[in-house]
Amino acid sequence: MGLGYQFTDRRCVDYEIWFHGELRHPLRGPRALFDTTARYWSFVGAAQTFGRFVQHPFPALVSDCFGMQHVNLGFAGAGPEYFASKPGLLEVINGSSLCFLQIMSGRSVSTTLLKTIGQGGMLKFMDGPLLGEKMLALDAYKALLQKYGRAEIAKQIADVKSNWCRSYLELIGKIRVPTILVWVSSREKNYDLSCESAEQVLGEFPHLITPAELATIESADRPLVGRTFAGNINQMLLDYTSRKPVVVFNKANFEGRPDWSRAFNVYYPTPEMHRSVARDIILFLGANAKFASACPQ
Amino acid sequence: MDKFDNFITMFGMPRSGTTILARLMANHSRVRRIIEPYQTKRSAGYDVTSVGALCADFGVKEESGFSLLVKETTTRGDNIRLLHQLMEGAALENYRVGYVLVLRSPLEAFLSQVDAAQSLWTRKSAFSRDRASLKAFWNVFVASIGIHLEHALRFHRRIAFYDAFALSPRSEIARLMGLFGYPIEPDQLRLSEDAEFGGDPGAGAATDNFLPRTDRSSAIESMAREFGSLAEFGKMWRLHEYTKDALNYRKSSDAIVRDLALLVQMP
Repeated sequence: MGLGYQFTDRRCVDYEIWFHGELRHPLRGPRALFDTTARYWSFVGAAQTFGRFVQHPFPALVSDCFGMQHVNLGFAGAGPEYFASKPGLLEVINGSSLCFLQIMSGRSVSTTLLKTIGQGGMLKFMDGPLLGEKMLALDAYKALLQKYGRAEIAKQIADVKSNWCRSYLELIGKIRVPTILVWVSSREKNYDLSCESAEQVLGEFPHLITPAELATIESADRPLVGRTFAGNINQMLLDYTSRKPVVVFNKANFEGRPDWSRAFNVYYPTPEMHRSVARDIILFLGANAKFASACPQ
Repeated sequence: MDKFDNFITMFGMPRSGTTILARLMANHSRVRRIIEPYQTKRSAGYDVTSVGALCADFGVKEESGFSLLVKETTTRGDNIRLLHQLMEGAALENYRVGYVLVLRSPLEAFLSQVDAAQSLWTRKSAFSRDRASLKAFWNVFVASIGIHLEHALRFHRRIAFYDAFALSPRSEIARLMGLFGYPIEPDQLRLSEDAEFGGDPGAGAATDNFLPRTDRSSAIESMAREFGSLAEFGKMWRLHEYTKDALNYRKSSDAIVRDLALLVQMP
């Protein structure tokens, strides 16, 4: 999806996508002085780590602050399963001296009913009246409510939570370097997970994940750092050259979107939010000697 | 009217790999190309700097879903001045504008140009391995880069090192295609013969070995002994060393633009 964002967002942000060695995954740039023979940090996560609509996302800000090389392994829609199944990416992560692992979405893990496809946030029905159909996660949960009923939704939620924890523990088991978990969200960790609507079931990013799940992967050696943002996300998107508002979400490709929001980012953390997350991580690193050994001397 | 998805220019000094890079990028099914418009029509004083008129003059059809690549070299400062006027005009016409700057050791490029003057050019030239040619080759590059640096951070960009491309052509072309937002295509690196392409006739062969390497290290050492006292040679040497340091290939384009300003413009 990195190249997908590069095309859609090309008028306002240049993600300077690059490729490392034999890895076929398009990586978020700028192409830093990342060298597997030297010390570097890895940042693992989804679109928030990638930094959609942000020229300097929190991985770059944190690394620059400590003068560290880093590699941004943020992939849109990715979940723990995605990384756990990619030996090339695990090799890059395990070559780093410190891994920052974002808390990724509950809707990016597969269940017996809904299977994730690729890394793009698409789900495929594996059973029932919509067997074989593929749709975006929110649409899939809407369909689930309408066609499968509340009992099936409750089972789906339980499956997601259980599989999310299992997938994270599997991924964490494959990461052999010190790891810090990173929370980036516009909601509190706890939320009212009601079955009234698909939106309420999923909640805001990282959908379906609550303190109970976080407790299964958090530990003294694997702390959780990061920030919950207050208020709505409304970032006006400006053309890089003219600095005028630019329509990124056109009618042809984003039909259902309100017209007022076509030149706005209303979902992904804004540059200010990235600076806040970076500040929290930097302060944490400064206050925790345990992780200081991963910083340059 | 349907606009191109992107308006991208590419330039670099002569014999720096611009032709082969442009060929490979234009080999993408969604990229249309215009090759050296100002150099090839210089005798007619060609100075069109509107995208629509340029496309009309070169028989290129404009369509959304496609991008335009315009390639030039720093053979004349005017080429780069006009290319940048074209980019500024395109931005005013609401195109998404970007550029690729190709960097190669100026000493290797100069020696390659000397070889080309002797073996490839149809018209006889006084260009040879001497002080006057060396100074002329460097000074026109400095003038061109001076024009470019005024605009360098205005547009999205990629800096391509000839040596980095020679080391890993596929990942470099994939990275450059990222400027368009297009993924590299499976057969994009498979070139066919294309007599109309212009530029370096030596870059036309369909082969996986895109840049047959000529070891010029002893020739460069010999030049250092002969021309080492020239101020131009000293600057060329600095840029030569910069293009040979693989750490620079991983720098951000912003950092390379800043380095280039120091390397080329500082006394």
